[in-house]
Amino acid sequence: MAQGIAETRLSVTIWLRRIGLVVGLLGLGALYGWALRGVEFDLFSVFKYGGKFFELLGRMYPPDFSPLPNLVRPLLQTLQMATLGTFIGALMALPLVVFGSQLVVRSAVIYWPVRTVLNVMRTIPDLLYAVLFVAAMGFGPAAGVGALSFFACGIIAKLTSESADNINPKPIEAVEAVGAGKLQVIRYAVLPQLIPAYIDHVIYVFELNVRVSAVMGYVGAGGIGMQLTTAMEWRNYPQVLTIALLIFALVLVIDLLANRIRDAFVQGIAWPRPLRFLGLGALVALITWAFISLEIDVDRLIRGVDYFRNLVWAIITEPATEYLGLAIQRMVQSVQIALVGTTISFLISVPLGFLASRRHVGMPVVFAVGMKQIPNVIRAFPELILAIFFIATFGPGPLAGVLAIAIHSVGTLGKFNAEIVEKIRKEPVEALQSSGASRLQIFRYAVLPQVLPEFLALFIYRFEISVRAASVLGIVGAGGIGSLINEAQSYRAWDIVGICLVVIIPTVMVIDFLSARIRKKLIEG
Amino acid sequence: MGLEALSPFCIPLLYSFKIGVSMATPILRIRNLTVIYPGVHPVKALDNVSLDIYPGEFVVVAGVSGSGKSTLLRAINRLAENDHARIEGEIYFDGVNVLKASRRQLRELRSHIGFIFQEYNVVERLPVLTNTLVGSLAHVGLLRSLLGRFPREQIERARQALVRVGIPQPRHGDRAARLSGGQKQRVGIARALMQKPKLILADEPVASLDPITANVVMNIFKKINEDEGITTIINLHDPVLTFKYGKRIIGLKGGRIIYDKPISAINRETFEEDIYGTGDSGD
Ligand SMILES: Nc1ncnc2c1ncn2[C@@H]1O[C@H](COP(=O)(O)OP(=O)(O)OP(=O)(O)O)[C@@H](O)[C@H]1O
Ligand SMILES: [Mg+2]
Repeated sequence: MAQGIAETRLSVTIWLRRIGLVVGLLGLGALYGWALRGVEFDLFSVFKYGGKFFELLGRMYPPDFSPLPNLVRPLLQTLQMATLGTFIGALMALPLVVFGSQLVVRSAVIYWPVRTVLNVMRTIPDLLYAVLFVAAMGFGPAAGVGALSFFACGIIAKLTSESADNINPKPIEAVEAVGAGKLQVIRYAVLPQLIPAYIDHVIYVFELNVRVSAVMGYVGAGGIGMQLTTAMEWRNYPQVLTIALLIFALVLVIDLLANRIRDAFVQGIAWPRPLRFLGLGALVALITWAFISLEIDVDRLIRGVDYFRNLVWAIITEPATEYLGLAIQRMVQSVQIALVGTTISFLISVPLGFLASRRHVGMPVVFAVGMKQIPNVIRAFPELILAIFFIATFGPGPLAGVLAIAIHSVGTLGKFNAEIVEKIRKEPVEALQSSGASRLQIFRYAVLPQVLPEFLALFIYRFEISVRAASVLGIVGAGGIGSLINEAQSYRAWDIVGICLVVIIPTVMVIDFLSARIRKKLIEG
Repeated sequence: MGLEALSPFCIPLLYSFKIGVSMATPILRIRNLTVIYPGVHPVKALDNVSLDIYPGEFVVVAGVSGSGKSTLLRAINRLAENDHARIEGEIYFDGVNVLKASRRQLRELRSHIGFIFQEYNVVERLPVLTNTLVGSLAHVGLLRSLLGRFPREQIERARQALVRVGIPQPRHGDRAARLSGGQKQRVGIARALMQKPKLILADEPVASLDPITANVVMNIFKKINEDEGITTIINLHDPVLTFKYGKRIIGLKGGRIIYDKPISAINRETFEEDIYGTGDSGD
């Protein structure tokens, strides 16, 4: 009797699960149908006009190196902006980290407001900062530095306080157990764990900043992006290629250097004293040089502060509510662009991840190493440049944005997917091998269960980032709410820019929050 | 007259001499200790435990996983509060009421108790020497310690402690991350020695080590206990090590003490059956 009840209950749960699965799949299908229509995606035109993309590339070739001497200064300026922006951002992040984690102050009265400021800062996309700072401080590199500082500060502070929340509590207990005081615990158990994380995040943000700095010129914030925009407007394609190659080279070199330095830190390689001083000296020199040559003038800084006060004031007292509907509509399109773009990227990156890892595929090592370079190369092309190319191919509109995100995201997704595959624990694989399972069975029961949750978590995380990108790609004409910002900016309608902020910030925050929840669930199972 | 008249005073003295420890006053007195981890399903990890530990004793706490061994040790220096545990009852260490101690008193109290962790709990990124010096933090001035400028004699003591547990001088500058498990645990012991502890609490100190290394580390504990008379309580789940090193054995099961005897009074067979045999506790 009791067993009978148990059996029916079991079959009921099985049926409920099946129904849930079907409903889920239908929902997913509907979601993608809706998103694909929203971004005007059809494979037909991708294939029909795709050829034009290569035609475009053809017209760029061969690159025109004659303006090279005139490009050196903007290129250096790009690097200077990135350096200074990262430096100032890293300094600004310190108090936010100290008071935004519960390490020093446990009081929620301090902790929550700081965390909120931090989260708001992090929602504003890189180029939107640039638009705001150009509006506030006028054209030029000073605006770029301001934008990059805030952008860097948001990410560094957020990542570092997350690291602070996740540091290993065991050494902390050991130091507490000897009767040490709070500050001593921080000095001997917290900081040794946190400082490497902080440095790691600063280096990572520097890499990001170099990319952003290279395209910021598009909205007038200094750097080589200005030259790129001009060349594009004059349809001087060979020159466009030259500039794109220069940016590409700069990013590659910086990534390479950054990786070297980061590895040294991660492995805790103690540098010889002279080398350490040399490195430190070079850093100080670089920052000083950047500071001097960017001619930042105090008057404009003050004017900038004034502008932001007015902007916030305008948002609060006289918001352009008549544009609210339009802003939301465009924001929805941005989210659709991000969803479709990231999904396409995911579909490319999963097989790439397997091919680029040296395990479980049985490909020759050389092949895998070659595959692994694909994401690295792609990562060096900023989304914005891709978007500009795709607009030249398919015309302005969301499709260009989708493709830019789809291609650029392969850079990170492919790279990290490969790392996930390489991290697979081999014990389950061997267990199945020893029981005589076929390769496909091993894949299905030992490999997939290990990698799938992590792939999905990574996908969702990337989606989060793509939403930010998709909300500014419109500034160059690739659809979404960025197009509204672009129009508003050209009419100097700051109240409309304000309403866009009012829409973007909560949307991104909600998506971040949901994404974090889902990822946690996926990883912890 | 003579001997008979003295006997009431002599007998306890003789007795205490015979078992090799001073019966004077316990260094650790635990009364009706109950520890509860709150939550959706609160767990009563210790249930009305009472104990007296005398100076110089070498006690092994035995029990299966989940019997409450860690909770017992972590209640004594109130580390269990890090897991939001509710600790009830009375604990007196060296005459001080532990559970009533202020933050300041607690720090002072902890500085006299060396704690050794199963996972070593060293700071991987700090050098071996600094990890050891951490043991003296409670007695180094705040400013000095924040600047990392330890007094010369502390550094000397740290070096001696490390050599004593078998970490030779050339390795003192290495990052702790580069040590093996057994070496990390030696650093953990050296850190505890730096405290000049009156009591050593070790929670499964050898559970992550291979049998040979485990014996080496257990011998270090034994030697410290014998040479300096430092009272030592060690949690072990391995019956072989328990019988090899324990002088007094406390058996825990389901959060209660079911055994508390000197090793000589324990019948090994029934003990193993009682402690590790198929019972209703553990996981
Ligand atoms: N932080 C905690 N939160 C909730 N319950 C806990 C916590 N720590 C321990 N417990 C529970 O308290 C009981 C005793 O655990 P304790 O860790 O003291 O056992 P143990 O004998 O040390 O076991 P082991 O040999 O596995 O370390 C167990 O039922 C355990 O699940
Ligand atoms: Mg334990």
